[in-house]
This record gives sequence, structure tokens and C-alpha cells, in this order.
Amino acid sequence: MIRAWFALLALVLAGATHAGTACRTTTASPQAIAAAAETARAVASALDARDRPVALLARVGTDLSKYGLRYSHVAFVLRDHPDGRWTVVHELNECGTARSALYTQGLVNFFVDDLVVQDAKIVWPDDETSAALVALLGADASRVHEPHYSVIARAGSTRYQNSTAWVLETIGAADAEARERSAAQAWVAAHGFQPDVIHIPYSQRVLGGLFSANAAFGDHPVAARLGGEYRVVTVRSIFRWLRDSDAVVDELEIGSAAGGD
Amino acid sequence: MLRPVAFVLSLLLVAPAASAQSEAPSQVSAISVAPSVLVAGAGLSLVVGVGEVTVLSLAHTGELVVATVRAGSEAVAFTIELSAATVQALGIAVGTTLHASATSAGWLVMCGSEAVAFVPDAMTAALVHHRELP
Repeated sequence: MIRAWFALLALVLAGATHAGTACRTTTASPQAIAAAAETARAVASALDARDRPVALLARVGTDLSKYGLRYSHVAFVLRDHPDGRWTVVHELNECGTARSALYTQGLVNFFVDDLVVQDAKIVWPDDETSAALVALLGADASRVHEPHYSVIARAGSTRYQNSTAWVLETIGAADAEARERSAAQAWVAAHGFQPDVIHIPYSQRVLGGLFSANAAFGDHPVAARLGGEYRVVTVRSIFRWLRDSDAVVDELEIGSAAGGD
Repeated sequence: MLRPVAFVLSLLLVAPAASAQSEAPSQVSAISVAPSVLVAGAGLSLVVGVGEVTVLSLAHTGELVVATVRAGSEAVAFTIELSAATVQALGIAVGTTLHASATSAGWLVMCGSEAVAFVPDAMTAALVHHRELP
């Protein structure tokens, strides 16, 4: 066990080096870890209380309130995964580069990520979607993963993908048994998915430092860029679509319960 | 009374450069967990009754310091990991007394009023892992 953990550390640090960026190691404060652990335990208890094999789990990693959004990131959390009783499976951007990878994490790791607040939302999909997701994530989690990352990836883009788009397309691929991103995107669109439109004025792109390697605005049509209106997959749009599709059997907010997605 | 395993988490964050973290909601950041090592099979469950541990030795390993500690008068020692910066800033040395306070998910180890480590209980420790998928 101990050796395994040391090996994990070595692998992780090696991965950071491989990314070839200015990533640096810092240490989370004990209080931050304790807070993440408390949230993780609350989420685990809520998950244990339902007889469901999979859920969507959202966190507040960035303050998106100026866009009318609450949750910035969403993942799947699977029961009885080989890596742990409750294991998060999600796409993460690598150190601000234009690349992403898929990760499995424990709930403590998921909530120690320098979050804005320790709030969480759990959404349990219906039986049909759950069964399809368990089958896909257990056997072929990366089926519709695109490693070219853009935080502002256009909804429906096959060139870039962000973390929320990966979740949406994975649901689509699972439900439709699709092999390609385009097929998964077509399925969710045909079944009523509507992305959010986020307004980001040009001045904010400049002042907000959004000309970084992981923000490909060129993925959007010229008209969208001129108008600053970007169609993106948000946590809110995924949850809204699932609710509107009657594909949600239960949901729970943990934390400040400020409401909204 | 004795528990087979207890871990101290010192979660190392591979932080992105500059302000990328605040701009991107889905960065890889909390991606490594360094374990504590139990020398003789004791855990922080020992400390619950005692409330404090005494530092027996310190071994520097890069940015971490492995502290061998003993709970009260117990003969069994175990190790916890601390950040080297914290050890230096607080002057933690052999003979320093650290205090453990219970939380809902483990224990916070304190040096005076400063938290120096978080030790998850067994249920929380099972929720700590990280792996990049191939």
C-alpha cells in the first residue's frame, strides 16, 4: 500500500514534467485538505444512501457568476470502480496547455482543487442512462475523448473539447452506443440538448487573459466572436437537458445550497 | 485500539502558471498525494486518547519532512509528513509537541495554533487516489 502511494507520487510528478509547462508543485494547506475531506465524506454518504451505480457530480472551481453560472466543472462518479468505492472519472486540462487527459480520482482529490467554495451538486440519471454510462465508462471511458482542449470549446466542435463537453458527449455516446464524437453530438442535439450562450466581450478576452493556450476562440464562427456570444456546453446546460428529458431521478446540493446550476 | 493504517496527506498541487487556475475551471491541480508511513502499525487513533505527539526525529526529503512521532508515553512510533517550509517556519524540531484535534473526516495536527497536517481516518483515506487513464 505504502509503495503504491509513493509510486503514484512519482508517476504524477513525472506526468507534470512531461506536460512541459511551467507547472510547479505547491502544498495544499491542512485546512484545505480537511475541508475537501469533509465535502468528500458528505458526498460519499449521499451516494451511499442511493442505490444508484453512477451520478454526475459538479463543483465550483471557478467563479462564473458573472455569466449566470454556478458550477464550473462536472464529472461522473462511479460506484465500485476498480480504483475505489466511489471514483470520479473526468477530463482535466493539463497545466493551462491546449491538452487534456482523463483521470480517475478519489472524492477528496476532486474537492481539494483550489475551489471557490466547497459546494457540490449530485445528479442521478435514470436507470437506462445509468446502465449505459456504467457500461461505457467501465470499458471504454476515452471513447469520445478529444485531447485538444479549449476551455471555451464551441458546442458541437470536433476539433476541441472541454470537460463539460466530454461529459455531455459521453452521455450521448452511451445512450446512442455511438463510436464517434460527431455521432454522440448529433444524438444529444436530436434529443433536445441546447448549449448555453456565454457573453464574453472582446475587452474581457484581453483584460481577462483569455488569450491563453487553452482558450481557442477561433473555434467559434466570426459572427460569434464579433458579437462576443459563444455557444458552449455548461454544467447548467447538461443538467437542464437531463431534467427536460426526464432522465433525472434525483438530485442533491451539498454546501451553501445557494441554488441554481 | 491500534489501527493498522493512518495516513497524513500532504496534497501537492501542480499549479498552472500565472493565473490560469482562476481562468480555467477544470485544471489538473490536486494531483498527488504523499503518504505517511507507519513505522510500527500505530495510527492517529492512539492520539485520540492522548491528544498530542512528540517529534522523535526529522528526515528531509525534498519539499517534505518525514517526522517520526510518538503518541504520549506509547512505545510505538509512527511517521507523518510535513512541508519543509512549515517545519522551518514553526521551528519544529526533535522534542516539539504536536497536538491532534478530531474533525469529521480525520484529524488536524497542530503546532501551537498552526495546522501542520491533516490525517484522514480510514473511510476518508479510501477516498484519496489519483490516476491518469491511458
